[in-house]
Amino acid sequence: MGLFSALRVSASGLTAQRTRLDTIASNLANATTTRTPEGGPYRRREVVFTPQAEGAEPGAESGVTVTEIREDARQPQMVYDPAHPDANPDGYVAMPNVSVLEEMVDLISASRAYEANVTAMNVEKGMMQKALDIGRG
Amino acid sequence: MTIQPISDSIGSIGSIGSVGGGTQGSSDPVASFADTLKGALEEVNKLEQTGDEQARLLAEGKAKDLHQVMLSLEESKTAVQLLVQTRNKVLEAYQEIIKTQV
Amino acid sequence: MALRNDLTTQVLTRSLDAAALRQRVAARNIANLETPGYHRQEVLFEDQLAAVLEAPSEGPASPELPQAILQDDPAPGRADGNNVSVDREMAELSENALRYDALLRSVAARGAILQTVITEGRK
Repeated sequence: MGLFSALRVSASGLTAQRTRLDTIASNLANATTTRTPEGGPYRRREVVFTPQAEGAEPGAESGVTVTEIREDARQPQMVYDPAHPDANPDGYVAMPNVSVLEEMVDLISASRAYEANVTAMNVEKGMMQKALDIGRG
Repeated sequence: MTIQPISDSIGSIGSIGSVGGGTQGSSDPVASFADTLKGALEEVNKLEQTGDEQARLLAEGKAKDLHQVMLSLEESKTAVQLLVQTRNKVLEAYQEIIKTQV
Repeated sequence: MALRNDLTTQVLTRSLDAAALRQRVAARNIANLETPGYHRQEVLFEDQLAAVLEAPSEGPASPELPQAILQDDPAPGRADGNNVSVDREMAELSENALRYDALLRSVAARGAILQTVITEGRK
C-alpha cells in the first residue's frame, strides 16, 4: 500500500486499455488479410483482462493486467469472389472473422475506458496536491 | 454595622495568608509545575519524532497516505511553536520578577 | 500521543483515511471496467461513523470510531459478470475528491485556529 498505489492502479488500467486499442487497430488493419504466415486468413484477436493479484495487504491497491491475447475461434467468413488469388476451386475466399462494426464498437468502449482511467489518475493527483497544501498559508 | 464586615475581611485575609504559608511550606505545587513542563516537553519531542518518522517513511516510499504525513508534520510544527511561545512567556515572567524593586 | 486528541480530530483523521481508501477503490474499479467477472468494491464508513456518533455515550470516554470496511458489491452485473458502471464510479470519484478536500480544509482551519492562539493573533 504505497503512496502512489492509486496512480499505479490507474496506470495498469491505461496499459491494459492501450493493449486493447492496439489489438483493435490490428484487427481493423487486417480486416481483409487473406494470407498469414500460419496459413489461412487473419484471425481476429482479443485481449483477456484479469484483476491483478493483490499484494500482501488485502485491499484496493491492485489493478488490472492483460493475461492473454487470444484468437477468436469463430470460423472465417466465406465470400464469393472467383477473381481473388486466394479463392478456392468453388470461387469462395476465406476472409478474416473480423467484423468492422464490432471492432468500431469495441474501439469506442476501449477509448472511453482509457479516458475513465485518465480521469481517475487526475483526480488522485488533485487530491495529493490538496494534501500537500496542508499548512501552507 | 460596618465593624462586623471589616473584622470578617481581616479574618479572611488571615486565612489567605495561612494558605499562602501552607503552599510555601510544601514544595508540591512547584514540583507539579516542573512536572507539567517536563511532560509537555516530552510530548512535543514525541510529536516531532512522529513527524520525523513520517518524513522518513515518505522518503523510503513506505508512506501510506500523503495526508497522514502532512498532518504529522503540521502537528509537530505547531507543537514546537507552542513550546517556543511558552518558553518566551516563562522568560518574560522571569524578567518581570527580576526587575521587581524590593 | 497527539497535540489534539479530541473526538473531532479523530473523526476528521479517520474520515480522511476512508476517503483516501475510497479513491483507491474507485481507481481499481475503473481499471477493471472491462474485466469479465470482476465485482466492484465499495468502502463503507460514513454510516458506521454516524451510528457510533449518534449512539448515547456512556461516561466521559470518547466512543470507539469505526474503521473503513471494504466489501464486494454483489449487485447483478452485465452479461460478462462484471458489475462496474463507469458513470457511477465517475460520480463517486468526484464526490469523494470533494469530500477529501473539504475534510482537509476543516483540518487546516482547525490548525489555523490553534496557530492564532499560539501566536496570539500576531503574524
